Amino acid sequence: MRPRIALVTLAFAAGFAARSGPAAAYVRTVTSAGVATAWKAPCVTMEFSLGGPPPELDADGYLSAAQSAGAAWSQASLDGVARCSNVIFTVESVSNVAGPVGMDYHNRLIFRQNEWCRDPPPTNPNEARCYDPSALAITSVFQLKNTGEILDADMEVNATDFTWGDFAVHPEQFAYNTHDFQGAVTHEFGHVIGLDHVCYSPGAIRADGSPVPRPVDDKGNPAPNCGATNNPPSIAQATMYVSVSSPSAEVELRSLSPDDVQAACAIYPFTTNFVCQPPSTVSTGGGCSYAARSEHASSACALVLLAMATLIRRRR
Amino acid sequence: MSPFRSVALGLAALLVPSLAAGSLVQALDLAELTARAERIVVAQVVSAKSEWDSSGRNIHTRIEIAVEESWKGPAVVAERLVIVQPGGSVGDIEMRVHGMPSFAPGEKAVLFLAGQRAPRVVGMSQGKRPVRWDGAAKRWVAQAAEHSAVVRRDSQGRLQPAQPEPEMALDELRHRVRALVGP
Repeated sequence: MRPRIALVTLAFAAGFAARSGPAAAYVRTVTSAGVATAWKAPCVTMEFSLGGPPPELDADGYLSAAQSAGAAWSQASLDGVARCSNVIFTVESVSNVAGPVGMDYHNRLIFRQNEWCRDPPPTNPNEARCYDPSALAITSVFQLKNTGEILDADMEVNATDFTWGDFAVHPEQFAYNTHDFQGAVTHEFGHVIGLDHVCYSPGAIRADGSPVPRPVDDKGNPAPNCGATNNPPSIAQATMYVSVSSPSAEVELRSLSPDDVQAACAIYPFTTNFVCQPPSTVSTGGGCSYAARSEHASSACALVLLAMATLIRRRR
Repeated sequence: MSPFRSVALGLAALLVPSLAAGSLVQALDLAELTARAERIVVAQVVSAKSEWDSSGRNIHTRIEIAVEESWKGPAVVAERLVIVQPGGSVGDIEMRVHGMPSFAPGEKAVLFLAGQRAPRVVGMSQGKRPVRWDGAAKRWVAQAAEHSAVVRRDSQGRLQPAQPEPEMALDELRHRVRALVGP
């Protein structure tokens, strides 16, 4: 059952346009085979379980925040006006409180409120059931190792050990164990479309025992260490950077930096003949598909999406 | 960029990453890692195998480790433990859970573990400190965690710098952890 469908579309670009400025560099997620990951069709429908949201915001508030997070990527623009990416995030509300995650071609966004554990629970008692309580949110991405195609992505939010607020509207919510929901989701959605952090944390080991190599950005430059004091603003300001340590920094995650925009637009360049299907007509849950349609058809679809888009509001 | 943001980002760059590798992870310093761990061991990875879990919807990886030292908890030397964590690769399909530590057979590490039946690494990647032999210094060295975090908030929400956990001699880390564990 889908009591409410809300689509994030081009028409809502104005409030979410990325910060303008010269584009710099970005880092892509790669598979264990070294292949950069991406959706075959960048129409990502996230099914947001909102049957009983945490008390800091109401269901509409959380839905709006998630839609705005998606819109930040959907409206990526190099010049602050025109979209430059085919990415379209659709966030739709579903009524179930929790919900399963896993490889099922349904992308889910779920609050875990009663316990920070898997759903469905494993039937084998020797399998790990619960997550580490220090994890605020966990994003799981299924992808094909040899092609990099992303198949499914789920984001589980730890509302058992943490609370999630809106620091832009309610900065007083900033406290230990409280985080800005929209900022966090914007960052995680970057991972959902195949972006990695723009900096590197040394120490990871590959399955063959060799260290994970320092990633390189799209310009071929090695990613700097996370937390390095000399990281340039173009890196430290990116949504895909790894620091959130103040209310303002968390809120700023909501807005894409030029690096983030460049990533979305280079990996999924805008084409006029690209259109997403409304999610209710797509059985895979992907919500969208590549289709070489006429501009007339694209416009018609855009109008449909526009008519369906609801509950988007500017939060900054 | 606003001056406020510049200051905030500058401070953040100086003090902390608190997001780790995709998943959002609260920064834990050594004291917190030690307190949250039910077992702290130095162990060698015997095997790491991925498979679909019992739900058939998710992939998990079973990491068998052989305990070489026990710093906290009931583990004993030569005991075999199996860590089960989400994520892994089966055939051409990978399930990537951002923030989980990675393991390779033969690898040696200090591990902060919680959970009895199915132990997990505390703090995700923060609870694994790879150990390497420093031939020049002729000593074992505990490397930095995959995602060292050096700051967190206090109870009032203020930035509160924590001690970074850089690479250090295994002997020193052992001493520090045992001091935190107490008698």
